[in-house]
Amino acid sequence: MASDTAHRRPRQRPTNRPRRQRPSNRRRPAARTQRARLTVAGGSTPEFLLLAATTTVLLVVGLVMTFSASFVQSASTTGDAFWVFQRQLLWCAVGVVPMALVALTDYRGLRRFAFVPLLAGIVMAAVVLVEGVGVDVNGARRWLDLGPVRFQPSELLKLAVPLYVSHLLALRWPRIRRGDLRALLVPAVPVIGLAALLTLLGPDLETALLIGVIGGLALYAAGLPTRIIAAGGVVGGAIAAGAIVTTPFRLGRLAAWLDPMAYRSDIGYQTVQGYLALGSGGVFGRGLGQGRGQWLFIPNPHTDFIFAVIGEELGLVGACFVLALFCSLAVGGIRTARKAPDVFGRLLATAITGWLLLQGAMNMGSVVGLVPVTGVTLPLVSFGGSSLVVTMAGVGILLSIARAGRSAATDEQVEER
Amino acid sequence: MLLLSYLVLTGLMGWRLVSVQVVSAAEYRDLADRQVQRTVELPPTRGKLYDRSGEPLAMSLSAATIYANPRELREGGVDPTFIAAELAPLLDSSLEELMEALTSDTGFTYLARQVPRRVGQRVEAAKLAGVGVLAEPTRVYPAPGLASQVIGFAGVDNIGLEGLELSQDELLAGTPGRLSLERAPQGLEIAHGGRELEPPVPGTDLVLTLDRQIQATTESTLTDAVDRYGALGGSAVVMDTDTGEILAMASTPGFDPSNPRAADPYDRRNRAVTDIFEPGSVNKVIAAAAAMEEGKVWPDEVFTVPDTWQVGPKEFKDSSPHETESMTFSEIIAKSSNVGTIQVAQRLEPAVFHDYLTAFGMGRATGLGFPGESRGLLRDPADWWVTDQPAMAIGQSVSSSLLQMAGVFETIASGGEWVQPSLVRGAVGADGRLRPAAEAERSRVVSTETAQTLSRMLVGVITDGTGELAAVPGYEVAGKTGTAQKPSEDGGYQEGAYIATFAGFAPADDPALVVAVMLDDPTPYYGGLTAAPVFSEIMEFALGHERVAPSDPGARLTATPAAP
Repeated sequence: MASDTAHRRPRQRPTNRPRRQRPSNRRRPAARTQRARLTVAGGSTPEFLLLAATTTVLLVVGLVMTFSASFVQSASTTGDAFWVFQRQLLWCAVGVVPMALVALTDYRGLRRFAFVPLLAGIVMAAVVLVEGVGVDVNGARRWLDLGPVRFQPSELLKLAVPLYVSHLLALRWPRIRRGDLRALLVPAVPVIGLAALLTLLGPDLETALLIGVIGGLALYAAGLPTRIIAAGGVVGGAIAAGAIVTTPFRLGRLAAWLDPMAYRSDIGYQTVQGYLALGSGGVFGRGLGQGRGQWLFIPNPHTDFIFAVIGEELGLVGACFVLALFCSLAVGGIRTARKAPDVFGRLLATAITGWLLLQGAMNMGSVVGLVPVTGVTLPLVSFGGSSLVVTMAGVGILLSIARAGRSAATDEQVEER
Repeated sequence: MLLLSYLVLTGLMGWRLVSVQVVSAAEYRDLADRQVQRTVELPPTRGKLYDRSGEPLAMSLSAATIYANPRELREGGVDPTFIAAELAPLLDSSLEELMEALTSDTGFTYLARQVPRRVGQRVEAAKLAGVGVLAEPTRVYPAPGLASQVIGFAGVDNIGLEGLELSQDELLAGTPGRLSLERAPQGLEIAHGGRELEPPVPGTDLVLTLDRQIQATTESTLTDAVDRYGALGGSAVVMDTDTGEILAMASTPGFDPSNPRAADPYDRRNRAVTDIFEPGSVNKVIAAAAAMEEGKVWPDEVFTVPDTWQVGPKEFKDSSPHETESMTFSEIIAKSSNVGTIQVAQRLEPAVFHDYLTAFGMGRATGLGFPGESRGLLRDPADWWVTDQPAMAIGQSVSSSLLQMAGVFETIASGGEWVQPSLVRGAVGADGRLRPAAEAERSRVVSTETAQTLSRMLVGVITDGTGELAAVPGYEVAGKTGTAQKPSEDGGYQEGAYIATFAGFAPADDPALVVAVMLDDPTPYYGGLTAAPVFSEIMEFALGHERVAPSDPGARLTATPAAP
């Protein structure tokens, strides 16, 4: 994929695909006129269908498993077993709107507003750090209380950073293409760094790293030299190591990761409960709703540890199915990037795909003990409130890029850099 | 490149899933099951104890046990002071005690056990957080104090601790049931979890040989006597001659079975079987029976009886000085002459005498199997010294329990057969019918003729001997008095401390009941003066209660009650 370097080129629709779903009076490419932006853009490419199907299945699995994982806690804290589920359903319904809107319109229109979410995200991330404005949850995360909803600015940044960075890089593409490293790094790297830093001060090391990597992925797709990637990796690693060593609770998490059973009554509790749930599930699982882990044994069963509930109720089969869904997302997302009609689309598709995959891997990896417990949610599956809406909007962009994808035939004609 | 690295990552996650969900699945599942499964033990209802006519002596009632979950209180942010203040008047306990329990670091603590059910209902009605009520059976003794040492008591966990409650615990206890369920933290029951109920098997009800009324009369008579004679205590046993069943077994003072801890150990012991003493003159019947059975003596044989008798270094004396006189063997027994009895006993080989002592029940377990039962002290004849045999003949250098003493008279009363005593008639089966206990063991000790001859001689003890006060109007009584010094801890005898005894049976020609009475340190100390009238009172009531026909009905109407 790295060798497949696209560049700005005339907007050209694949001509070998029928457009059955489009009204006959709109035969001309929609994005060309201002009016056309409001109309349905692109077509049902294989990538679009794959991504749309995968997303739908993930959302459905998420809804079902969120209910299964949350009904005990909901009933015991609010008296209503459906409390969490109803909210998940509501946020899902709310999220479908931006997802569908973005998916069916031309993503290139977003470039005009690319700075808006970034600015909003950075301002809120800064404001939330001010004592008395941000809301402490579990002593670690900082949230912004917006009346009826709580909002995590870092969630917005996960989408805003790749959007804006991709836009920046696309703007400078002629210079970057010529190998202008400065054009590549400035001002993209400071933007990524600022967003990551504000999140790190949250303090939310995991999300900060995630934002850094998402931004980095856009740079990587834009041809960032390997030595700089390596340097970035070292810097990121050093920051992470520093953050871990200086914070007792992160050190504890690390120790609990290496030997969870030794800390099963305190910091390793969640991991061990996850293992117990997974082990109880075996190959075929206990059956939907039959899990024991969510009976107040696993902390946060419907958010951080929903994968453990899936593994207990649906077994190895169900857990591998979710893994497969994310692989499908990977295939669809990367193919979308490869076939993106422009640089902006390619970079953005790469970054969004990387975001979903990386966050998914961090979540599932922490449940299975591959990485320390991170506290990030499983995209599209975990109960997430406003973050679900942001994730769905991101998927919407990915879908839109997929719809605009070039055909396999034209893909062959792309010149090498 | 990105895809490849993600596929590798997925592979790693898949490998971890397989290792957790397949390879180590059993281990994790086992741990998960262990943290979820709870087994609640369901206490069985303890078996009842009935007297021989079906009157309840011990039973279990459902009571309320109040418990709390202090951890839940703390996690729920509930103020334990409030809970304690609410509960203190209901449970009648102090605030400090409750606070200590409510603030302990545990998930379960008892606040009050086995309180009346209405208290439990009030606590439930108060709907206090973290406080619960359990149904738990509690042991109730409908006639508090009656046969307290025989029945014994069961602890708060319904485990027999003393007496029949202990020795019959296996039958009475029943089998606890089990309720297995799955519990989540904070006590939630996992709705779809497996719930297995194994109901408890209630304990077996037992019918005792005791007769509630004879027991009550025996106790009150003893209590009066202890009072009257200033004794430390007293014991009595009433036995059915034919079956060896114990109709009454009493020791006063007794104790309140609902608060046994408050009682003195002396009061708590079933002293008729646990405490031993030198039987004294009562033992003369064994020497007499053995000598007659062996053909060494006849009732009418005349002996020259001085008031002292030298054996080796020891001079044996009669109870009071008298001129050397001629006495028949019958008279020797009736007057309880030590010197005469020793002369007869010396005709026996030590081993033979020892065999008779053993056959009459000395120095061996009665087979009652009562907790703390003593087998008495009887040394092997090889260890006997020259003075031992004469001493044993008059009831010294040998110790027995009151029950063993009753067994000696039971043997004579039943025509020469030793009969194993019993306290349990049988168990009540599931169909409500009595399943009788095993037949009493019997062993022939002396011939019927010897037994009958000895009975006649023992009638003489009452008619013209030391036991006149044991007479029961209308009935012919056979028996023997006994007075023995209490042994001291240094091996000698306590100065001025006596055990007064009387044991016998009635009616003499066809014995129905055996009664043995012992008073610990009465004043006066002669068995004939203290134990004998107590015997008479108990025997009279028991014979009437058992509807034993009097041999001289007229005497019962004209006679005045036996004066002490």
